[in-house]
Amino acid sequence: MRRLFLSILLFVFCTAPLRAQWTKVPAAGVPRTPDGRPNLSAPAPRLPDGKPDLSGVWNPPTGYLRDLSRDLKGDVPFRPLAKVIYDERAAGLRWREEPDANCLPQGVPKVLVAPAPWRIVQAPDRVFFVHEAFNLWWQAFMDGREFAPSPDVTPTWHGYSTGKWEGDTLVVDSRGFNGKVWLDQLGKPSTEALHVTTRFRRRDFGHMNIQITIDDPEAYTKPWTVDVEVNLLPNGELLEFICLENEKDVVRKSEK
Amino acid sequence: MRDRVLILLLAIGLFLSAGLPLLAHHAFSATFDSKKPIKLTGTVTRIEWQNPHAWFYMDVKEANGSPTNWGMELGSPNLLIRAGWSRNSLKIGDGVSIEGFRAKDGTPTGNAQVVILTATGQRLFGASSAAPATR
Amino acid sequence: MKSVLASVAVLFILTSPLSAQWTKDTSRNIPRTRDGKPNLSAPVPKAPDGKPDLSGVWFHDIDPNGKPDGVEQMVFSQYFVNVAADMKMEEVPFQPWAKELFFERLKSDGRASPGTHCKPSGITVLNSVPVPHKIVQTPQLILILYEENTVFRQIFLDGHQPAKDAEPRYMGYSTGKWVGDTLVVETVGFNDKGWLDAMGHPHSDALRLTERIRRRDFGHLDIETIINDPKAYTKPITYTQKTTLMAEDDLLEYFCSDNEKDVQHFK
Repeated sequence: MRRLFLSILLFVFCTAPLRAQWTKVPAAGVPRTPDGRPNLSAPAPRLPDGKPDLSGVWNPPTGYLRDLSRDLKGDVPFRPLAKVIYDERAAGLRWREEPDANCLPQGVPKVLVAPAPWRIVQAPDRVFFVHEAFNLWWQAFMDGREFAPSPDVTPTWHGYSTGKWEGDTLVVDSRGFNGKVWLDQLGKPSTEALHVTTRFRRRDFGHMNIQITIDDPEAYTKPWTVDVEVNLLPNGELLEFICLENEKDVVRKSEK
Repeated sequence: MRDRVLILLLAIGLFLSAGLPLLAHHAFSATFDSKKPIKLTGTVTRIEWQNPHAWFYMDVKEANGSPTNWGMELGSPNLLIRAGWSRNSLKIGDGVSIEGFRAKDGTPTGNAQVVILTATGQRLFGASSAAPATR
Repeated sequence: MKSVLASVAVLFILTSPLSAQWTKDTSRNIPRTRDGKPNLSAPVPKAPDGKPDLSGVWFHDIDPNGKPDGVEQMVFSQYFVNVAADMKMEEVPFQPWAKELFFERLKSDGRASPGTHCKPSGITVLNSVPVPHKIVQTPQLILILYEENTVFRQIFLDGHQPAKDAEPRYMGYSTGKWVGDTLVVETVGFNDKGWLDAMGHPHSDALRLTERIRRRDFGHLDIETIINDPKAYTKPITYTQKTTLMAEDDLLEYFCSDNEKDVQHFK
């Protein structure tokens, strides 16, 4: 419990915008209200090719980092062993293994709901996600390739991701995980069989809906889906977040 | 002025006599002793295919018959992958022999510069090795 | 013999497709030679706004005279090892404190180097390590994704300027502008904790790093690097890190903290 509290505190402290690191530059292409402020309810912008433009700096809401399933109707469909692991983690018994505490990545999908802004950059056949949380990136390939699962593939924290458009929704599939990702701070488990589907739909200029489906047959008896709303930060910037700058928990964990 | 030049020359001398810059993400010579070459034969017990350096562990039989478990450090999996290797190139239970250098701290730890699969004689992982395993 | 093997290894790295992760990707617009290989000498592609397109995955060229080294037993870029590789050691224009610190770090075999402790590597190291980086070019923002520790860097082209009291940081604050066919990137706002290279050339928080990035042809991109840090060096240090396109490959993840095991063995 104390670990949880400290992790949240660490995040809050590190992401509170103390002061702007850049001089304010009015972003070109931001629709504005008559009084000059960004119009967050303006229609969602489009790229020259007509596809939705998801680019921008996005800020997740609080709460899902701690408990991804907080809005889920019904129970999370744990398999028995996964439930045992989850209960131990939620009770704080496995704090030494928590990736955050070891300056290891959140992984997908947790990095999308960590309380630090992130940016989407769209390129012709790729979508890139860059995150203030731990200063890292991941990417989705939009060129029609498919992930070929094989025992030789090196497992990852963010998966091997592919994306495609379904109407105005960007659907990203991520597979090839390393089984170490905690889906939230309470510790919902994942295995190497994890398959995450993330659906991004920009409702209007300032708001995007992200629907996350967790499909991990070795930890859960069936897929489960949650919805998260993120907000645009029109003048947002990404700070530098260096976990190991002064990380003392890693040291402590070797003390009994 | 002369003193400074002298100090500089001595420093360069020190540096050069230690050999060429053996420096990667961390220095080879911070951990390993280039004056303590090792050759070992044993059985793979564990593979850690993670950054910053892949490791594998092998049981090496001592003279009295009991095994010592040695840890062998390789390069980054990212570099090994691009050279055609994968996390399954070496498997638990494989017989291997290695040539490398021992760690300075006296633990059974080494840097494996050559890894040879006992069963086939295939050389693994190094830039100087034979063609990589087929997929 | 060793250098031949090293070249063969490099050739292999540049031409071998990424291993089993993906089904074959033939959809990219890669100019090819008659035998189907990427044509690295084809002209520089252009972005929709007419600027040279720097986008691609770039491998940091290794020292043509280098020998296999380190735990990895491979040849590195000479500038990864030593940003002053083009000059004799006695010519390096150190300020006295910087020279002292440098030789201390050298004698310690790099035990305190950021990379060893999974701390950020800094731009000059990121541009020269044996894992590649990817440039993503958009008109107002250039994103650089580094495989080294899976970090990213933003270069703003839209008039953003770092605030005077911006928090000093490992990678500073980068802005860029086009001068002809060259992207000129200026970075300021560094903290003083980084090492410029593996040997340990120091820098201060007064560092102004200039990178003149120019794509010579389809397969080759040069990063002319100017280290301007009057607090640490009496004159700028300049070198050019050449890079080569990895036309059919892509970045992997790399997290130093996944399994760092060397520090415990340091003696």
